[in-house]
Amino acid sequence: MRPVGQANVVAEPVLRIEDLSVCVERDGRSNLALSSVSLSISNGEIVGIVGESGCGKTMMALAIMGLMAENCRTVHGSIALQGLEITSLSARSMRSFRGRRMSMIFQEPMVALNPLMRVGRQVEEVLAIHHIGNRSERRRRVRELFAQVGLSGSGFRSRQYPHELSGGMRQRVMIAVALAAEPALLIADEPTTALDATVQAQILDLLLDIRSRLGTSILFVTHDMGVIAEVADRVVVMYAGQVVEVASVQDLFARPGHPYTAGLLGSITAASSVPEGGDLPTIAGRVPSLEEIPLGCAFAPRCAKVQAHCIDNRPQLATLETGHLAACWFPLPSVGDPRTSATSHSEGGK
Amino acid sequence: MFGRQYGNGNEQNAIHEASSSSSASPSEASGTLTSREVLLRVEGLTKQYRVGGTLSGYRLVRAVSDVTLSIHAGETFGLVGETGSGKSTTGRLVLALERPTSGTVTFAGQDLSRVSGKELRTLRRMMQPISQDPYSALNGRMRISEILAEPFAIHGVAKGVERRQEVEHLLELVGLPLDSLHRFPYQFSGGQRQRLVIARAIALRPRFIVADEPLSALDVSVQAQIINLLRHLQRDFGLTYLFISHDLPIVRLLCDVIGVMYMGKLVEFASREQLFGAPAHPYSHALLAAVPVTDPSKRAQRKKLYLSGEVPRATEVLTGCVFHSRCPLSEARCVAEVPVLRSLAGGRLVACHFAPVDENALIEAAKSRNASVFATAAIDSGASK
Repeated sequence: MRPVGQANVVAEPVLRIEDLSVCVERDGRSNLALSSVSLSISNGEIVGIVGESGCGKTMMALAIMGLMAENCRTVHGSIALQGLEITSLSARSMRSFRGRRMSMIFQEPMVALNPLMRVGRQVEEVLAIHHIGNRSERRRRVRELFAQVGLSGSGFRSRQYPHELSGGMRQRVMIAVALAAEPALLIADEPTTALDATVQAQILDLLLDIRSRLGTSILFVTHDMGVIAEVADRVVVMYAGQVVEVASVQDLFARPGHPYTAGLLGSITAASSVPEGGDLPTIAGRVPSLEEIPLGCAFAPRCAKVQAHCIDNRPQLATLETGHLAACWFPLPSVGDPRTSATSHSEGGK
Repeated sequence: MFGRQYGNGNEQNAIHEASSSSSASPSEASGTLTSREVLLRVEGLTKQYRVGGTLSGYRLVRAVSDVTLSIHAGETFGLVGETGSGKSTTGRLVLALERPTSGTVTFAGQDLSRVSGKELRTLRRMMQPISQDPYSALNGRMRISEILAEPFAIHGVAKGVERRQEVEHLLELVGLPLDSLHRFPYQFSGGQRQRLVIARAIALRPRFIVADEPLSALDVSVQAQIINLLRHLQRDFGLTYLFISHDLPIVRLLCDVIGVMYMGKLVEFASREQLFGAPAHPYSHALLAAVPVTDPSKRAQRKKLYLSGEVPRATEVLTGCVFHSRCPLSEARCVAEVPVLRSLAGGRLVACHFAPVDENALIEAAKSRNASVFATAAIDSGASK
């Protein structure tokens, strides 16, 4: 499948989210679950979204897929897929997009797969729904897909039911389902969290392999900084429904600008030993619930470097260096960087 | 007052027996530790479960198979392995929550299968579990004050005002405010609940705690807080931990010695430095190779070690080495002959015919075995273009 009007949208990113706000209605009250988030993904790029639970990572993925729960509403902003605005699409058009132009894999493949259908049929179903090929072509394509995701003995595997497969194999089937109609964008929501370490490594390699062979763009949602370090090209750090930092994976790990990012990096996955008799660095407190998000900087109550200014004023994303943005009044200085906190202060002003 | 010695010379016997048995045992590992008291000794521990309860028959699942290990007072013993490796079952057997099919668990000199119910209850005061899921571990209908007072009530320790003071002290120890007492579990976050579970576990000042994946339900920033808490409690109360986890970076932070399990077997035992410096068993190599890099700029240098296939089903009857179906180095000998746990230099133990295994040789072997698989994938992708 070729993107529509490819010739005149060469520079257009596969996905562009601008100023998106989503609110959740609960008990008659409405709270912002996503607050003015912006994000773009280029062709063949892997963008990681990282943050703790309750930071809005999954909400972002569901908003893109148009799969938010009934009590969630897009209140502002736009989501453009290959240059086409999708927030205003009808449910019917959205259905023709899902699976075909973008698809999603989930944390728990056993929940996402139909337990009563042979796995080969579940892959074929995607092709049938999108009217791709005739029966025999679809069968051939299923065999191809199974081989692509590393399910050896594909003819035999495709006749099995999900319960006959291991967790890793089920996730491979999910990936085959997601890739069946060759979408431009694959959203992976914690795809390896439920898997064992050795299987996780295999699935991460498979996703990297798919990107390089098929040029699929991947939005990778995870809480695991180690996984980010393995697969992402660029990283979006979320906190309390806001994007707090965006950077290339190298810049982010080498020079985190936001104290929250620095805290995540200082956490377990990154540390290899505890100082003798000392403590691991921690982030005090916990992620606020939607009702408790502070008006100023959302991270202020947990921030070790908080100042009076942070309490009442919400910082906007401001450029620290090319392609590296952070929403912090007093971003962490990088080593040997003459930039002062005062300059970013004025840039970030509302 | 809870630190009473139950050992009446049995510890020495345990060590003596181990050295005379045919296969080596972890008690001889790392010379510095042997001088300390062996708090827990597990020997030939095996647990089988019946599955499929039809009249025509059933199959046996060997969850834990002939595991022998010793845990010294004051140390943190890490038990690692993937789903189904038998690490949680080992934890339950050690706490005498289940009866072993064969083998013995000796805690503080007492064989847990031989003590009376009353004696077991006394011993249980000294050994406590911390479970994985802090959401299901606390009774949602009990107030925190009741939850934390329960261990004292069960064992008839401290009454009235004294008990209330003990409970308040527990909250202080785990860093929760006193007003928590009147609240219910649902009013706490995951990390706070895990603090409550820990508070209950240390209520009777046990000597030994089995923590089964205590961090895996928590966010990363909270994990670090709980790790710090566990370390403080160990220092202040001289606790001994059996720490069960699949997360190697956390095990590296917390554990002094580590046992690697696969398919119910202990395949390697080593100190932290030994295991993370140079693992000896091919499976340990694979586990370590699967840990994500911590620096994205080092991605390219990463050594990839692919294991073919996945963990066999628990009901499968395997001959020889449990790892032979996935091991890049497996030969006819591995299918025929069970490798015994044998000593290597530095007190480490490994159950592999070819150990210690060199990393590069293993990676080369894995590459050549997997070459055919990759070739197929390449042809398929070419055809689909």
